[in-house]
Amino acid sequence: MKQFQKDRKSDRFFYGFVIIGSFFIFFSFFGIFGIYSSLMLVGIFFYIIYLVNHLYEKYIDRKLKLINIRQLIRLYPGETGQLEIHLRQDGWLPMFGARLMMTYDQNIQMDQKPMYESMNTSTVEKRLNLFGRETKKIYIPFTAAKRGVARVRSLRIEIPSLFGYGKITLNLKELVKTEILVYPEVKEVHMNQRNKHQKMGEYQTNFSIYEDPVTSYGTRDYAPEDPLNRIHWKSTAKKQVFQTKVVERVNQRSWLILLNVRSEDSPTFTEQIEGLISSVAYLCRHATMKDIPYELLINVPKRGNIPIYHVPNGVGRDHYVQSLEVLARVNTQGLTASFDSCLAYGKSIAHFHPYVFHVGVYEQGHLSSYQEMEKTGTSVFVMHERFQSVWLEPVKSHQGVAK
Amino acid sequence: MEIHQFVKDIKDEIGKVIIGNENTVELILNALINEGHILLESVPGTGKTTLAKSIARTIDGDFNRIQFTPDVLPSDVTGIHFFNPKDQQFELRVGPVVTNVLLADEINRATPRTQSSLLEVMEEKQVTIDRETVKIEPPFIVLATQNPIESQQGTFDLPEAQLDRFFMKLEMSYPQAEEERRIMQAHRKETERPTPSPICTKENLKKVSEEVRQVHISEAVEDYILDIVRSTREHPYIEVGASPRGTIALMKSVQAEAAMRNRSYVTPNDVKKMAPLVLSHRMVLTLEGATKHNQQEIMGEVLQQVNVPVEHSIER
Repeated sequence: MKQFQKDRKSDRFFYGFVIIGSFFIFFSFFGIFGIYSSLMLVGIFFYIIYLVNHLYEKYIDRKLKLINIRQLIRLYPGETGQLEIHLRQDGWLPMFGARLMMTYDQNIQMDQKPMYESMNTSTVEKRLNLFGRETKKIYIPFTAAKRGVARVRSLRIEIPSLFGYGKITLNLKELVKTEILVYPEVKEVHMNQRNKHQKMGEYQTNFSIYEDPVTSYGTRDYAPEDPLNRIHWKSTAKKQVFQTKVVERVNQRSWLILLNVRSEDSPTFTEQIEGLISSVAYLCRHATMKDIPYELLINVPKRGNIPIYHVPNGVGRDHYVQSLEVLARVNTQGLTASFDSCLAYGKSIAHFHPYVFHVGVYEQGHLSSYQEMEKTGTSVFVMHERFQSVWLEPVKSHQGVAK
Repeated sequence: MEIHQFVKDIKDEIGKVIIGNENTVELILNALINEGHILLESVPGTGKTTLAKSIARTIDGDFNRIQFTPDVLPSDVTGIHFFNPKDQQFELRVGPVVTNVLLADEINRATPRTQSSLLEVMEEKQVTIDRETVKIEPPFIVLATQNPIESQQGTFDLPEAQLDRFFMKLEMSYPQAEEERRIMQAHRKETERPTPSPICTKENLKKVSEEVRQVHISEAVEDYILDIVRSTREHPYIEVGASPRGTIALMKSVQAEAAMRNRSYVTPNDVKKMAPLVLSHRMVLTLEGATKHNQQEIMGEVLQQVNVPVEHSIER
């Protein structure tokens, strides 16, 4: 299947050639001017020009290919990258003086000045010369301007006709698979008030009051008050002294981060959304550096079992990358979901997490849900911002601030 | 012994069972010649187990498999002393590690403690069970698999010390459309799946390994290897670069690569080909680096930055 949709705009000049050519050939037979063969030749020449141009226009895109490979470029705002457009002409027909026009999202800025700009997209133009049986990579340098996902929305090649009159426009029918992900900036959140307490869980740790009876890793001499079901009978038989199984110490130390993207009284995105996303990015980064597992819920709707943006509980660098990707994909031009749906799901999983962080607009109506979470032994903290400084404080002390 | 012919014979024999993925088979043979271990990352159903079994059969070796789950214990891997009531004595029962080809399936599902039980056997080709050391007869190769699309829950990333013990990390891709068609046709025609026949003996393999060590590495190529390894330690996005064990692995792998191409000398192209496979998984990226690139991309950057040795013309 052809990748490009062709639109031909042949100049009347070529039709003129055909008419004049036909006229010459017609009169060469009747000998009005007396120079039969010359007229015939000129007529045929005009016909050839028309035919060659017609064939050129017909076949120029027949074996033209855009090597469209899925590619993800990840950047932080202010960083530079380059977009690669890979074209291959498998046919013999060359194209000279063609123009490659590309429309892209505005959260990236091309180094080259755009030809024109609309509300969310810009278009740049590049000169393109491609010989027959040639492969060419066109590099377009850009700078990541703001958080979000940038894609090439349309790609068009304008090829002038063979003799310069008229043009052929090739519009790419498919989506360019390259995606540029601009991560959010990271904004520090002060977390000096975090209590340290433990919950029963599954993460192995050196110090914990909880144990996982399944994960035995050794034995020690029996001590009074050791339960009977902890005695390792094989080991006892071998050593002829009672032996107790030593098991892994475990606890739960994960975070649940809830991001409310809605403004106070309307279902639109809050004006502080970028700042909130940057704060969440900081929390994720902090958790990754401290090796703390975390789960993230954002009240932006999506299809699926969990109808909101959700990063499942996890830990490590890959998990951080996944979180940053989700944060980058929050589209402020899109819809928001009610924060109640976020809270409802959060409540159902809060008992897995000793710490819950609320980021975004906090309303009095949320308090009852958070109080329920606290009853299961979870500590809830609300993000608070004043004088350019952001910090987390326990939900109880935040009650007065809630509107 | 003609090493390239030897490799071709094994490849052809394995090709009777495994359709496609010739490059992966070749790279596993490279590791096998060097007695190195392989970490295979691939989605389920691409023929990892069949491949491991086939390799064991072609070298006339033993094959064992451990399906790792979170409750597999170190003693399940290495072995135990069990009390025999008949003799009223403890007897040694070695674990599945005592074999020639060990398939460690879904290794990242085991707890770090269990994963660590493979450290000794992978490096020293021996296993210690309750102060009793059991030597493993060569060849010994661990083919460990992990699923790249696995969710975070219930999996444990392999520790760096363990990753460093893997000679190569390979990605087994889906077969091409034509290959998949052949797989379908093969499954329709045959009622019984073919099994590869032994092509060589363990002694032959040992001899091949010794011959591979004779492949010449010029000083320029040696410098090239060193430059690449040292660059991985200086790249801004790399927190921990390749270890000296990585350097040795790269050297051995390029020797085998040259021998498999019927050459008695190593070229910079061999180094370029093998470096991403041997070194990438040994590098630990910084947090910033990990958010933007993967190890292969960074390795690609390193290879672009390091000057490739070229033959200079003699000026008269």
